[in-house]
Amino acid sequence: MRLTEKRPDVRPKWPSEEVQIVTFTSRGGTATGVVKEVRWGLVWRDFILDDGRVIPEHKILGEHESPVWRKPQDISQDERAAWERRLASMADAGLDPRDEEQPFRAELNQYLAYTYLRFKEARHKPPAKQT
Amino acid sequence: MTIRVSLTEVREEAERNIMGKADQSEKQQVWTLLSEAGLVDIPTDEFSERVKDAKKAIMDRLGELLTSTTDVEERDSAAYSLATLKKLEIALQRRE
Repeated sequence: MRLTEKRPDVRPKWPSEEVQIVTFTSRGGTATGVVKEVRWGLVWRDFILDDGRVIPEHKILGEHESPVWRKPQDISQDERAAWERRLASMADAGLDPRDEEQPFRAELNQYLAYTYLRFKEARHKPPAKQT
Repeated sequence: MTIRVSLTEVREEAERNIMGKADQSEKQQVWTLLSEAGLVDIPTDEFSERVKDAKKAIMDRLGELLTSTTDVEERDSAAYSLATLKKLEIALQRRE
């Protein structure tokens, strides 16, 4: 299993590099899968399984630390723009976000959560005055 | 000297605990906010609705930013995000 985009300010002790199989909540109850990679999203971490399914960390069952989060202000302009380009290209390719546990659904869900947090926070910030 | 060092250690430990609790509380607040907005795990048939909500939030902010000449970067990035959401909305409509 590979852990990507490690950030110095967050040092999760979980998942350990040895964990290979995870159980998670799914629409039909619970399911298991083999973890290929753990990837940071715009708000939370996603577990990428070897069959391509994408499971957000908060759906993983078992004893582990509470999910770690990123703040909207920690996302750079470049990262956001890259995420938006990827979403647009997945939409162009005809992918459907209603397909369960698929990358487009996972990325769109995170993007909408991030957008909500980003603009909810900004709403309380008055625009800079004209000079 | 020993007492001073140990007091410093106690204070640092207390600060770490306070920071940890503040962090936990912030995490909890974020979780609650996202849960209430239905954004932790968007149901299959609600993606279009959530995209519309996000567009509205951006348009509200853009309205505020139009009065400013200094928040150009935020205005540009908000406009770009709005364009992305419009594109996604059209793609979702095509599948309905």
